Amino acid sequence: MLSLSNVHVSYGPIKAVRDVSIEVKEGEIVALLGPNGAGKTSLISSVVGLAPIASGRIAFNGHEISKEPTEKIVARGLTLTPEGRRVFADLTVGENLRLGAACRRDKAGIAEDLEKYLELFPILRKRYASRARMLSGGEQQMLAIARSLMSRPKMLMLDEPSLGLAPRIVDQIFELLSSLRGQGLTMLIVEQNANEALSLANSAYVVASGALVFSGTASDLKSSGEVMEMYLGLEGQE
Amino acid sequence: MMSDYALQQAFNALSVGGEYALLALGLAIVFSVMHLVNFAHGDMITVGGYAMFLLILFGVRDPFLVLPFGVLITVLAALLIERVAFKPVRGASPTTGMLTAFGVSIIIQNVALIFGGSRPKAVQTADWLASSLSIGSVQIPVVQVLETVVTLAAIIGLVALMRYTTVGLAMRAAAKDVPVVRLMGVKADRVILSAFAISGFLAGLAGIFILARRGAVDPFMGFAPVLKAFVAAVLGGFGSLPGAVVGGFALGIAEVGLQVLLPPEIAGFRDAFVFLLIGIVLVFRPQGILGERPDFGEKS
Amino acid sequence: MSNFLQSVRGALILGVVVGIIGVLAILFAEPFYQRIVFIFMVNLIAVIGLQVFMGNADITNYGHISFMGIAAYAVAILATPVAIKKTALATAPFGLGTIELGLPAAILIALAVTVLIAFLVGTMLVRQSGTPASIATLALLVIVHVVIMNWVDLTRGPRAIYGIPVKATLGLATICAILAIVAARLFRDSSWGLQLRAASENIAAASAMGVRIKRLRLVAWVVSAAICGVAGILFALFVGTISPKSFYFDLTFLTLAMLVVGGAYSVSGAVLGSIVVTFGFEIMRYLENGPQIAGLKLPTMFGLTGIFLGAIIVLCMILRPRGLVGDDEIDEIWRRRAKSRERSEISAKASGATQ
Repeated sequence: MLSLSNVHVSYGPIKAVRDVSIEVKEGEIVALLGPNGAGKTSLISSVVGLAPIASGRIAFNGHEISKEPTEKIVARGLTLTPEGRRVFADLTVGENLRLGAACRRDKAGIAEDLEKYLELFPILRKRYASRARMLSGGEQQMLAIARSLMSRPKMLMLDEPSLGLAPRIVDQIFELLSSLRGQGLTMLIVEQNANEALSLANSAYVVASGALVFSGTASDLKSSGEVMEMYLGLEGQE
Repeated sequence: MMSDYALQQAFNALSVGGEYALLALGLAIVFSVMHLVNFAHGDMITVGGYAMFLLILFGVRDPFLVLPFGVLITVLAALLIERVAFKPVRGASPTTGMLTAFGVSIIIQNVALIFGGSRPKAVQTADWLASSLSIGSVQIPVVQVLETVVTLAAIIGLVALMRYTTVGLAMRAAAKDVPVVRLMGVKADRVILSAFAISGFLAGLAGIFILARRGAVDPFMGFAPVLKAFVAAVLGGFGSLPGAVVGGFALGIAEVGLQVLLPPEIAGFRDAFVFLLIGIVLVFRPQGILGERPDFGEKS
Repeated sequence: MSNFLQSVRGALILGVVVGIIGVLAILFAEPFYQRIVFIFMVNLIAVIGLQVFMGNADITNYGHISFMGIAAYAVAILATPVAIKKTALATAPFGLGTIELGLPAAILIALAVTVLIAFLVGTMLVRQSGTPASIATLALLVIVHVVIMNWVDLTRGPRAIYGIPVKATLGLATICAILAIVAARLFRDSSWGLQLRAASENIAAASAMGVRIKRLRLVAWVVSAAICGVAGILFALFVGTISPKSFYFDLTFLTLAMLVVGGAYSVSGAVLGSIVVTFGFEIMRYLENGPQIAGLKLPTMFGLTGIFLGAIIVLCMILRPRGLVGDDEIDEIWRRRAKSRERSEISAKASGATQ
């Protein structure tokens, strides 16, 4: 569904990502792991056109998208829930969700989806008229995910969905992602919290210092003690 | 009667404040969406004014054609300037944008000077705009009543637009986070053009009233009111839409108030006093009446 | 070489250029062109004054010309002979209509008044930053203009003050311009200038510096006003007649265009921009008046100079937003180039040796 081949990302003279190739198949969940500052955020931002691609190809459902503007990529059905949630703090929960569906014209479908996600995230229904800045971190993360879903994406990329959240909330978020997987949504999850992400993912990639150091199935990664220890600071299951 | 005088001055203050509010709102919308300080805002009014002048010159006298035409041209001027001058500096520093706008302003003024000359050219807007309305024993100029009403209607319309339409939501959101607005599938271009269209529309409305009061166009007619609008916007909190409205009306009230209170010998200094007063307000509240304190911790 | 000497040397490179222009004009130019060169020197000093604040604090300033006006009016009111004042400024307050100071005293008091007003305004202004600060400077320009226009007893209002002693020479203006360049360069390279520039580039650093940044902005603001004051005094003492419109938007546009085109972030930019824009401006002014070229009478087109200024500002912002010179002084750029050339020569030799 999404394939990155030999992607380089650079900000002026600084090379953030070097020669990374990634493949995400339909219905699959892929984890993109690596230490802080490895270039994960740069990489997925570049996929939606928010970071400058120096060279390489990115294809989504067979269309070359590396030169397309963000809004067009989103309209194609690929979206990103950005790092740090970035909900629109001055807008209400409801307004955030409505803006999430900005690229759609099917009024009935939008209303249907709104109802569906308010069902899935009861807290958002409860706080529907509050400004997003009043929400807790976990609630904001749920809002950010629901907002992304309102565009009815075929594939969702999530950047650090568990960042800065209490363990109990992290579990909730991952439960939710797992239920979305049940509905057949393709996902690419960037995480520092490797264990949680790997429990959900089919396959995994590890980047360090802007380059790919591992690619394989999630279980391969779990059994590769060296990678787990060196790059993710975890004990492998040997 | 004293209360009649007070009522008259109150309407005067409301209408002057309304004019500043309309202009300050236009400045604030553009600023909040793309951080551009549009010094050329007033010159769009000038363009609209000359357009009305030309239309009348060609024999069209019906105010219901002339006035909307002026507003339309003001909107088109705003959009054209965005395309030609501001788009190339999008994303540059605020200083760059502000100086670009400043340059555009000088160009428009001088083009008007070359083709129109420096002398004011009479423009008859509409007879009924120049007449007065009697409320009991009080005479209130129609311009003032209409300006107050139109301003309030425009504010209500704007609030509705910003709350209930997708593009309005996108404009509010873009004030804080443009990349994420694009992640919602909204074209940045569409948001910016909408902001300019609204800003031009509000300027066009204000322009009609400015013209109705002056009865003439000249190359520099837009500058003074917009300078006041800038001051109003800073007073209210720069970039905040409610701040623009509050700042506009506060400035109008302060101006008319000083006009009434200052002895005639020093009435000429009114603007200096008004600015000084605002300077003092800003010493105690640098972010303006409704502005937010700059938040350095937040990631932008 | 110490930093101080390096700054002075860098300033003197610019000073020599300005000096040559001045000396050539004094020796060879017709009075008409001498006048143009004198006004160029005055504008140059104002542009340098503007650079001190705008370049270091990174706040666009529309109010600098008001200090030129304040200083010019102050010196005019103090130094104009009593005989002339009797008809022109008979009702002047504080007994100013009956006193006549010698030039040195008048100049010193005029500068002191300018600096004092700048200080008072500055304490309010430095609390704002960015766009609101710029708008405040614009408001200042308007306030000063309104006061000059309306304080008729003191300033004759919209009418001109005449009979100011015409004592400034082109030589004096040239020397003042060179001194202004040196002062601006020393301020830029001083620890104050460095801190101010560092803080302007980085908002987080600026907030960490807090109160200090405000104080540094105030220093830059007052120095800037003093330099502009010198320009105003020279102008008054050369032309002999001043009126409010000499110190309003026209001159603000012109000097701002000069600085922006050359580059606000260096003194070199201020000098280069002043030279380039003066050339263009004088050519446009010639065309504006409808000259006869090759037997063809061109129409008068008042407004052409304005369009020229606006157009170069817009083009410059689109194509080269940091001006012709950019962020560093010319001598710094040269030094860096020389160094990199040296380095490449060494590496070429080294690679030659290994072959």
